[in-house]
Amino acid sequence: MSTICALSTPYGRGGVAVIRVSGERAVELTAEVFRSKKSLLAAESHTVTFGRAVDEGGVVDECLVTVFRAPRSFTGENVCEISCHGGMVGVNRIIDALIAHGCAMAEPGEFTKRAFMNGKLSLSQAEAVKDIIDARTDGALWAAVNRLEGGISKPINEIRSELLHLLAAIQASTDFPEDDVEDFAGGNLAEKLEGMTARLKTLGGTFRRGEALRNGVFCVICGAPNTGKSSLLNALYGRERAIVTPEAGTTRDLVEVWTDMEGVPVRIGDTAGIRRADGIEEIGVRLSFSSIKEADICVFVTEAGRPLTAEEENILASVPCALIKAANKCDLAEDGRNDYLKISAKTGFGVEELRREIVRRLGLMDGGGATIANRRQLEAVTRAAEALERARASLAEGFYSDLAAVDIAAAVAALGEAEGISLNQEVVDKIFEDFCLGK
Amino acid sequence: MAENNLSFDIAVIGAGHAGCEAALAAARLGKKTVVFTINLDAVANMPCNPSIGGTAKGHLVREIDALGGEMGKCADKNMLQSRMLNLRKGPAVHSLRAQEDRRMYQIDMKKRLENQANLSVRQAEVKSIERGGEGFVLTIHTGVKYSARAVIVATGTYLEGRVIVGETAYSGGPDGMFPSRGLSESLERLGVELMRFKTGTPARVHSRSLDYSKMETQEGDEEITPFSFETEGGLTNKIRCHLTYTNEKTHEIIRANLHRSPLFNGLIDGVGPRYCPSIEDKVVRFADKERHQAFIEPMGLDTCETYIQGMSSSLPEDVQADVLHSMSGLENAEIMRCAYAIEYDCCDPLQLRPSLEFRSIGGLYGAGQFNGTSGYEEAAAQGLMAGINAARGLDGKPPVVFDRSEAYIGVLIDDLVTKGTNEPYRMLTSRAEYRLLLRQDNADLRLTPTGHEIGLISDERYARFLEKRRRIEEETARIKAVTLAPSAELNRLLEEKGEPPLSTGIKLADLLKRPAVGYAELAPFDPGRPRLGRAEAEQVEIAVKYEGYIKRQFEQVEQFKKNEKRLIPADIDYENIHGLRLEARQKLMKMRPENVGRASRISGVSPADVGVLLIYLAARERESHENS
Repeated sequence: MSTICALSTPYGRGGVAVIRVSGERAVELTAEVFRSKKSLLAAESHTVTFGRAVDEGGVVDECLVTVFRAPRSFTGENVCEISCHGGMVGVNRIIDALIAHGCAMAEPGEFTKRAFMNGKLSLSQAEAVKDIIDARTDGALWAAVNRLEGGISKPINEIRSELLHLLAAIQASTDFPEDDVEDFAGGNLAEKLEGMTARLKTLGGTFRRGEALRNGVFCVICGAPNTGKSSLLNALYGRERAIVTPEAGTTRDLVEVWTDMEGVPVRIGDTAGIRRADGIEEIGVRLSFSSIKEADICVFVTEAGRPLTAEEENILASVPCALIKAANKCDLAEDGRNDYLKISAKTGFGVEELRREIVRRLGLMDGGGATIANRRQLEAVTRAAEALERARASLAEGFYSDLAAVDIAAAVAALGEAEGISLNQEVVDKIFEDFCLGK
Repeated sequence: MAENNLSFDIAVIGAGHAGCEAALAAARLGKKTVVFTINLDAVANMPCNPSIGGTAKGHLVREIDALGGEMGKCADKNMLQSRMLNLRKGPAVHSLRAQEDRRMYQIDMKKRLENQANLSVRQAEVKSIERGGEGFVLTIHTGVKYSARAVIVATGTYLEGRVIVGETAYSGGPDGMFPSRGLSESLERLGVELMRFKTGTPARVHSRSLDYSKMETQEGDEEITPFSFETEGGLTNKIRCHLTYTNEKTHEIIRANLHRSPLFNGLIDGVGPRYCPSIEDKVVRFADKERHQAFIEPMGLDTCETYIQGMSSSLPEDVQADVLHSMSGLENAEIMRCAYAIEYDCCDPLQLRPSLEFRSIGGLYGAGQFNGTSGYEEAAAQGLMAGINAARGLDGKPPVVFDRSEAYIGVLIDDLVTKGTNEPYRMLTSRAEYRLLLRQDNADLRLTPTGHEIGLISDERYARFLEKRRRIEEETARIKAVTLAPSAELNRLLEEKGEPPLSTGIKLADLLKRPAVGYAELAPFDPGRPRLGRAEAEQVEIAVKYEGYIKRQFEQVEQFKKNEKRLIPADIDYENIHGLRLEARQKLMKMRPENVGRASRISGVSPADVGVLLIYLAARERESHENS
């Protein structure tokens, strides 16, 4: 199998870039483009060597090369990771030099594919690798790493093995009807199935957080002009981003920032204050309305200590998603409304509470457990839960336990799928389609 | 070269349950066939227990019958008592079992062999098998040589058989027969890898020495379902069976004498079956169980010999007597034949193709206990398939292979040839993933068309089958269309059943979906109902009542078939597939599975390996696409 190389860090950003080389000749080929005091060829596994990357034109960059020898590497093959400075010119020169010496450019997803094929990763772990690379926040990274270490396996495997026990019990009494095998009393079995269905559903619920961790959520700040929306955005972001002026209507297009709330990556959109306006400002208002429609959650901002205007009532009525009402400028005035979160974007008062509230209202608080992070797993877990509900329903209707067993077996198979215990062509195709270059 | 009258198309070694079906099938398919048995009085013997059928095994017998095999017919004819097991469970696991008049069954089956055209029945011990002539040359104990183009090995427990009772062990076959000696060696020379398995039988006692008043009675079914779809009915129970139990004293005797058991003193090295443990095994492994069952089963109408089923043992004879005497009703039991364990050679079935032909020895087939199974029904099923496929092989026709969604026979053979077995393999309903479809009641609907195509089902029987199928389909369609109006009588019936009464009309089929409501009892409310046979009405009821389950199972089958249909090219070079783990590579190279589904079931081939294989196949296809 050929030795492959590719840039493993995102293209064009970051201070350091890592080029990964994997294959039987990984160390030899890397040594061809690398000059160091101690020959790389002699480097032991899991050691770092300092040196210079070179090509025909001379020294390209100073870099560190980490050597992993097969099978103790990510892909299970010999692997070198060349850490160099992030400039794309240098990176491209090193990759070109590697290819000139016989490396092949990695196909999208090929490193992970090799790891999977060498038995280094299970299917869900292979998917997790992709998620680690795409992780935007620590929370997302943690979820992915947890899965890479088999995190999701545990709860799923627990339920699966309990179900296998139930199945075994039912089938033993079926296969040996004349032996004194205890037949499952329908009630007892139904109760157990109910408990497991609930656990599967809880597990399914973690998908929302998992998905939010990977894709982020969109939070829009809306309200009448000059209620301090841009200040709030800056406060939530932690830095100046939106232009803040005392003049109403300063924000005319959408300002967006990414920030981390409770580990969830949140895209915050500041909108133009909504009021009757014309010209450029009117376009901004229109944009505001369309972004409210896309939002997962809206934070409606008004000023503390005064009743809502008719215009503000209109805005509130137009919010189609989850809504948090905030009374800003609490440092200036008292506010007696119970359903309003008291904040001051200027002093930072209540901003932490708002961040938590946003995550809470979206149902994305960290449960501390394993997270289902992709649709394939969610689909399998949901299918398993449905099968168990059917099993319980047939018992309740008075059908025989061996019929319930058909559905319990289906649930076991579905859970096996979530963990990649049973595979089929589509699943394999789909996963490898999703992967991006050099990961 | 053998003379013409010693020259056959197909030779079957052994006339047990596998050998009989194999010989009959081969002869019926027009092949000049000979079947050898060490003793003509041991044809179709049942040394282990005098019954046919049981969970999953009953399914096999029905399938054998649906394909044109003999076991079901012979079992119906010589039945002493019949019971449908698991009636308190769903129809998928209802299993028929019949106590048989063991001796009459043997005589009957022997007669069926004798009367079969194209079939020679020969008492002889086959000493060696070698390649030669158009296929194989078999040398029997007298030195006479037979030739056959194909050979089916169905040697049961005779092959290098060794009988063990306590501290005594001797070379022997089952039930006092001679063992087969020397054949093993010549099979090994041909390249067959052998294993050593063990099985056991219980003691047989004199019926007059038993006190039945101290035992529970087991009656047969009032309405008897025959095994064969051809049996017209009129079957009656001729005997009762009884049930008694071991007790603490029994267990004490066993524990005190364990050191004299060959299983524990090292005299037995063959691997025994887990699902059919000896009584000493049960007592040791399930130490907290206070009692074990023992079934008292007569061996026939013309004998007093009685089996003590569930008490198979290899303890010394004096201990066996003490053990039996400690049990209620057996205090004075007089042992006529003591229990024994028997060790024998069998082949590793991983060497077989799904046709039961040896992968590396064309024309040589294995069937029955020789393939590592246990049980008369498992043996007969394989015998039938080996007979069919040996005959088809000589005609250059493709083998008949059922997949796991089509028949228990398919599950049985697939398990054997892809997973192998490290103990005598017994069919279980839990081994069949799609058991809701593989019911004993619909075996004919599943398999008789194939049986007809093969040539074992006559045109006449097939016409009757088609008529039955048509009536079932029509009636199923009718009750889906017919609406029952609510009436006082109907509501009374429903209330009796604990079902909510009707206020508006309901489709007959929908009413039948309620678990407590049966097809037959709705007859008074359904004037348009045609006259159907019991089996036909049963099909209609099951098809409607379990429609949802059956549909879901069909969906699962569709998923399963995807990998079954994904063929692996015969010229695949596993050495060239990178990423396969070593164990998987070796297994795949050895077994050369026909499709991805089968590959995925080989032990030692992980899902990751299957993923690698799928990716390789996809890449290979893409390449050949690009090149063409």
